[in-house]
Amino acid sequence: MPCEQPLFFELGDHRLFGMLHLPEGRPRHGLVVCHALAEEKLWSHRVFVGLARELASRGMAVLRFDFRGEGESDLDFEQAGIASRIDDAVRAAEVLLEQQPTLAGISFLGHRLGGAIAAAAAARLRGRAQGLLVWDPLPSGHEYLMQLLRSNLAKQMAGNGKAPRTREALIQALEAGETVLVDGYGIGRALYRELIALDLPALLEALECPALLIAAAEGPAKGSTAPRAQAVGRGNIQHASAREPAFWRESKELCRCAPNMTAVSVQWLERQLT
Amino acid sequence: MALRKQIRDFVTTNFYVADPKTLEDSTSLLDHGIIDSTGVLEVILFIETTFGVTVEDSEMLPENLDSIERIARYVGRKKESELRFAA
Repeated sequence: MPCEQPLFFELGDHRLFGMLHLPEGRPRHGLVVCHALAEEKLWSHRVFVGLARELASRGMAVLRFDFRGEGESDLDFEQAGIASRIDDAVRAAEVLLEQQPTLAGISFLGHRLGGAIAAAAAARLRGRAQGLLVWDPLPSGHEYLMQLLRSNLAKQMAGNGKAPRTREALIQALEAGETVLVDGYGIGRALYRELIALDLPALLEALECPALLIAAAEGPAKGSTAPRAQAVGRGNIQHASAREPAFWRESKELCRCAPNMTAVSVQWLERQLT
Repeated sequence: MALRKQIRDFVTTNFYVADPKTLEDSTSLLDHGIIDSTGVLEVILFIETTFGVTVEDSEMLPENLDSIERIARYVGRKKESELRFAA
């Protein structure tokens, strides 16, 4: 029977919380999961519990963990940033390799913003990173920030009947050092600057291991629910798409699994292992 | 009317509406708790992806987004002005 071990691991003076999913017997591969940011992490939590259990049943050791500033890990949201999250992901990979010394290396799976974090961590781990999966990649940190700020506007409109500041005005406020709330999470100048500098294509260029970027195509799957994604791409970077609802956004009904993205990921990981 | 029906279908499918038949086109979606701020974002995403119009920050107003009728009028106006701009 696969088993699950909650654990805390250390990075400097801080503690990070993780959940280690272990297969029965010796793991044939290891995977570190890098979650999405803030509210998106909360809504997608259950999907990654299911994914980790699925992979553990297929003989893989999976470490899910909370970045500092989120979940059970140390620091407040406003104290953590992109750089700290990359450090966290690298440390999580080291912990998995320490805990499972028979593993020659690990792969990363990153969701949304976690995809860029995972890409940076995989590049830093060099030969010990054997693969990278990105679910619903965010190519541009600037574009993502604009999405986040729109949420601030929507909150103001819903509460006050009008958003007094446009996103351009909010960016000026961030530049001036103001903290802007997005779904209750404070985005300060440091995180804002890290976000706008984030460039997934540039991060992927530094990557030595193979990678698969899976875009989520919304809407109901037609016909069979089996994934029809064809991984295409040049060099070590491939692209695929899988039909899934946006399970990381608040919805009428909580999404508990992402069967098509999971299936595409499992197929790809299995291919990497053979 | 087709536009309103499309918007109505989106609202009743994606948000909790106790009895869709009693939802008037003029009912305030915010005042009746049918959408909140996250719902506003969903409505905007729906408008942009379904009708291919861009919702500007300055247009994020209840006058444009707070009922089926208002959304339909807003989308109609936007499409019209985009067509005029393209001509």
